[in-house]
Amino acid sequence: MPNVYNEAKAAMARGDFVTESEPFLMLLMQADYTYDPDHEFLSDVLSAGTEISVVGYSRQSVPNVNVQKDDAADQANIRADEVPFAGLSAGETIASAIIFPTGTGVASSQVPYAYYLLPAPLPTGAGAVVIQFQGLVTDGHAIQLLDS
Amino acid sequence: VSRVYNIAKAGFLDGSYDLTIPSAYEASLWDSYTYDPEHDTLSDVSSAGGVEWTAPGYSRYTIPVVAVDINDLDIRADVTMSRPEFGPIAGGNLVPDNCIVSKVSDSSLLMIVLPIQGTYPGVISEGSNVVVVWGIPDSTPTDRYQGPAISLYMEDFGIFE
Repeated sequence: MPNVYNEAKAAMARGDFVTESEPFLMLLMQADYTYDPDHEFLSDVLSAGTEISVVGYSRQSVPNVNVQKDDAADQANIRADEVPFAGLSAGETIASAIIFPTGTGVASSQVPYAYYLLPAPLPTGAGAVVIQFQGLVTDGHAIQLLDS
Repeated sequence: VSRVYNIAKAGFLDGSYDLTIPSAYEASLWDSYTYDPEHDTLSDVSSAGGVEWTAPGYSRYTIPVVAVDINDLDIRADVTMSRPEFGPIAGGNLVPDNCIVSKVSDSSLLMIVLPIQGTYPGVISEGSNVVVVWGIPDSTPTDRYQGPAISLYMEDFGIFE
């Protein structure tokens, strides 16, 4: 199942895709959100589902985002380190995560870049949550651009 | 089917390929070239044995318009370019095998290549313009390719905690 939003794909071709020059943020969603690649802005996402909101939760920066050209695999990757969410209180369940550029901070103009479904729902309150990107071959690849 | 060079894939991800800038990209025709996604510039194409066309009337075509459209139905973004048009080319010249689109500046960084004669081998110029049309071949000999020049698809992968 694809996980890159269509608006983000268009941003790549327009030269608007922001990677190393601006931090990515990650937010966590509950199970009522169903990924829809047509969602254009964060406000579309937040209208279709519920963001985690337990005490201790805040959107986190994605560390060390960088672009790599991989000639051996004939692809390009956006690589990033794992994203820690510490101190989440109990009471909700994490089902997925979404990355987006910091941008203006206004949900109606922020473009979601990619959606990641957790292998299993994860209740909050059971310790620190760390989200790690898992590439097709190499862990740490948040987005991969391949030949079709 | 057009193929995207690796340098351009990375460029799409770091924002260095803005396809909406008019006349920032040009198309050229090359013989004796085998596509290698690791090639970065037109110099690499030459070094690999590629020979740019020299038929009378030929010059590189600066692409005036590139459009980027979101294709929600097919879950992708489409890049549509005006058709590269060369000439008029003197009659009797074999049209080369490959049409390559590269940046006009930045040392001619490569973007895509379109093999031409895989579908229509042995096309000979007839004294008029040679036009390359993107996409899927149709039944009209003068419209060898139509549709989007590039379609960006994404592969699936996941995360774990």
